[in-house]
Amino acid sequence: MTEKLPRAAITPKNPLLNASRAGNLPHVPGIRVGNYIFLSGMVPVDPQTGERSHGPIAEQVRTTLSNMEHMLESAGSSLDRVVRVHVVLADISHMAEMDQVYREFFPIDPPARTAWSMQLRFGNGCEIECVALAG
Amino acid sequence: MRQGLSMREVIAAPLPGLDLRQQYGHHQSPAIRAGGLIFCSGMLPVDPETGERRHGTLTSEAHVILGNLKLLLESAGSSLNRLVQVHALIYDSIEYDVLNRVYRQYVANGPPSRTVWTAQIEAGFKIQLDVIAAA
Amino acid sequence: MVVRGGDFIFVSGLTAVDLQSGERMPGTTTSETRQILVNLKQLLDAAGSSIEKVVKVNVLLHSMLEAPNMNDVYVRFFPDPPPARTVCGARLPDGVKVIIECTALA
Repeated sequence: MTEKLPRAAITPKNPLLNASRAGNLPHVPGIRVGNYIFLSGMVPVDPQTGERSHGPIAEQVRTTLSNMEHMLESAGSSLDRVVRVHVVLADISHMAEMDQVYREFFPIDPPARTAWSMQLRFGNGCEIECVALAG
Repeated sequence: MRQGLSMREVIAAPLPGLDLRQQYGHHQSPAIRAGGLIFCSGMLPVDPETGERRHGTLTSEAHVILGNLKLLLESAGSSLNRLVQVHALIYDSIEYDVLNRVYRQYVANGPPSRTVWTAQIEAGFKIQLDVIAAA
Repeated sequence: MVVRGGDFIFVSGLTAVDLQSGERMPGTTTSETRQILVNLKQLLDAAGSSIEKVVKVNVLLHSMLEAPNMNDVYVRFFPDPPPARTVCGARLPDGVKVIIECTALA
């Protein structure tokens, strides 16, 4: 008989980063199941105001990854426990700039990553999703 | 007895239409259970009995997909209530609200994490759902 | 490229490169798929896993028209019964025709 892993929603300590609740959207910021945390895709949001935060792609990536760090820490995990990242860029030519900022957040033994480009909503330059080990 | 976590178990199609390998030559199993999770192949709007493509609106295609996922997950001892990660692939981000309107009907009871990808989908379908559930 | 986490091994999205030199090996979707899967096998074996232990594969194609070409190569690498898979089309970096990522049991 397969063991049933418990499953629980996680929420950020900073409520301004809870886009699911704010937008009454049918998802949660993240789910913990067993030893894993699956985060919903995150976009650049100013953690002070909750507003969309656009501008140069480097800043957007930095904002998004900082928010991701906050989300993981709210759940008792951390960036160094991330195992898989998906980076979606609106503009494929932003790969190099994205990568430069990304390396600041994952300097040593980085997680598995796949990065590509797709149409993103609301003028977002990036959307980043990850899977992490729980704390 | 706890199932050995190092095992990889194939979840067979509960109905012939959901066996896309049989129907379309796609080299994939419908789902794989491992480590307490169920990894599903991208679910498409095909008739679960016949495998025929059910093109329609994003709404009608989403209903077929979510019905298929319900069948598949329940046959594996899981359910839509135990989803942990969803990638919602849609052909155009303009249909985001339409997606939510349908999707919400199926995941009201504790939705999972989700990332929406605007992607090119097989056979010109408007939507595909790529999901992971807790076993 | 290959990260161990709990029961699983997470492999980054792979493109067609020479594993030794890191040099890109652009070609057709067919040739790139083949190079990627040859590399994947090597990476998984080196990590103590194997192609047989792969549970889920995500394939990104520059065009869904190439799905049958990708599948024709793919079927020769993955066992019977194969892992779960999702395939879609997207804009890929550096003009690559295909990216393949996967998750395998450790």
